[in-house]
Amino acid sequence: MNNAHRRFAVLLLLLCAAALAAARKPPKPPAVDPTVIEGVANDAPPIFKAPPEEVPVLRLGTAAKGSERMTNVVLVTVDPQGFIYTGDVDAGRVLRFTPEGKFESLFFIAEPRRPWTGLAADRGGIVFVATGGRLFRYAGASGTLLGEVKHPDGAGFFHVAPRPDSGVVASWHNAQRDDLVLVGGDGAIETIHRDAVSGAAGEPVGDVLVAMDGRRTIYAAADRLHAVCIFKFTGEYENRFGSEGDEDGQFSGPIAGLTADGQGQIFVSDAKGVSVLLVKDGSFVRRLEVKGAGIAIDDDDALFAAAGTEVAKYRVPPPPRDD
Amino acid sequence: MSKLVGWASKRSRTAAVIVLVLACRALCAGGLAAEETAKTPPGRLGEEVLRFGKEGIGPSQMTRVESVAVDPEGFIYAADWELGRVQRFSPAGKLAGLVYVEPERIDAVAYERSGVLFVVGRYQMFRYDAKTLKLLGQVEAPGGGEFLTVAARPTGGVVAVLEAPGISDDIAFLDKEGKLERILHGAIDKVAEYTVRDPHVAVDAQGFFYVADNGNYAIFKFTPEGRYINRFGYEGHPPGDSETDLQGIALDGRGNLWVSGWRDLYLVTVDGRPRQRYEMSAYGLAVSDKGELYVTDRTMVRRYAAAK
Repeated sequence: MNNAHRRFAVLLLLLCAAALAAARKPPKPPAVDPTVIEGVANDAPPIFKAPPEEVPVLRLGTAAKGSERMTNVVLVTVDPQGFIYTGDVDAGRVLRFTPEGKFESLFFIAEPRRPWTGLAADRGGIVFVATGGRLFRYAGASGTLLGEVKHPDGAGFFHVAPRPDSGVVASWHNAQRDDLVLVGGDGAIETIHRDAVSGAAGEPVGDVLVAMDGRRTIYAAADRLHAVCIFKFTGEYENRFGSEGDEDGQFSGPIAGLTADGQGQIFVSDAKGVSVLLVKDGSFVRRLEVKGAGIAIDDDDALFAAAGTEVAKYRVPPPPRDD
Repeated sequence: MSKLVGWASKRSRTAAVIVLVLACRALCAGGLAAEETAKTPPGRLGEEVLRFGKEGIGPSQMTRVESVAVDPEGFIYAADWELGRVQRFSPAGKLAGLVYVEPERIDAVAYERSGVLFVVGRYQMFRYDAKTLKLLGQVEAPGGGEFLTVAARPTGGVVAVLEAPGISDDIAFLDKEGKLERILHGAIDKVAEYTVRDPHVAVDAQGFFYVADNGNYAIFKFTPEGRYINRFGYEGHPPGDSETDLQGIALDGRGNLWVSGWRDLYLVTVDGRPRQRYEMSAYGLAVSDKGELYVTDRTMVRRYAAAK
């Protein structure tokens, strides 16, 4: 074997070694740029210095014109297929967007001049609207009014949130008491937990925002208490956390939004942004410096925040693990 | 000499071309091959064709899925022990329905051929319409016993294992309405040292049924009529071995008995001879009409092609 053969053999060996190394190396995941905005209705410059969880991955309404323009959107909800519904309280209409953020359709709500306080899409694609103390049901895809949920003691519905199975949980109050109401997807009231938050707090609490997580734990936030109260699905009061102030874990100003994700986190929006707290003990995880009144979580644990003329979607990391 | 060099040169060139071709193939297919090796355990287990699930408590997420069933259309019923709920997924793994079971703990789930889903939770058994997950009713436990587990029978109806009053165990045959057809009193404890504990049951195409019992650390085999045949363990775990950990059991149409033991999946013959062991997280097991094996590992469901 001459030198040329040796050189060729060495080259082959090197090639084989490179091939083996490449075969053993796991495929590199594609790089993800958290500042990329996926939405179609976005012409605003991305915020490069914000933490990734505060940078929207999707924006709706920013550059919208005509029928899809947002004037004062303070409510948002997402259905199981990922369709996004926004509640424009000035225009009295619901805008429906595809999961990719493309405007699809709109419908006007009944009682548009009354205070519109709640919006929730259930697992069956039914959109519940709480306005003027009444609770209406619409077919989300068509916007057809399906009916009204009637509390036996009359009007008083305030807020509404999807249940993980079907239907919604709603808050209701009159001058004497406040209730947590479990409503089925068909609009029938299944259970009323009477005098729930006021009963637990020992004083009238007024307007209550609600949310429910995958354990069917009910969360109820009351402005007057600056706190979130926790109830079992059966209505049994368990705990409360939060107080008035500017420290971590405290709330200031009106509580405008409340929701829970699948990772054991509760989200509370107030004047300072969106606070993220742990379900198990109410401990503070982080504050997202994002604009948002009404907030919602989708099946993929993404956060949606309604902020007047736009709705933004955020990827929020799960809480740190104990282990 | 020059001939010899020429011959050597020709041989080395041929060898070089072969090595080059092999190297190129390895280069091109390297990443894919590595990935396939990682997801397809060796041996008789079919290729993994689907996996879905994410840890969490939200809809479609899973916390402790320890039992699973599959219907003839390929819809998957994943029962979450901790969340006390059954989620129905499409054959592609998309959430199609969800129901919370009142006892808030699910021990077993079985799809009965007429479209009824039987769910055992905290010693009670319930019937649901499998498509809508609407509650059809609670099954009355015969003799005041407590339901421990359930499996579908190929001819319709289910077989359930119960803890009977008086420290005994029963095996009950129920029709699709949940009505009792017949019952075997003390089926396990008559032939074993202890009564059953955390059992799992499976029925083969001929109606032979197998009870995997963590009380006696063994799998008990019975004829369709309920006559005890034998007991056996699985690879490295003979009957009575207290290290035995039986988390699930299922039979396919090829005479394979699949047994999950938390960190391993075992394949044994229906008379207890060991065949294969796969190191993988495995809890609930189910086999579809196509012979596909479904394995849950608490926060994920995996589907494997029919055993080779």
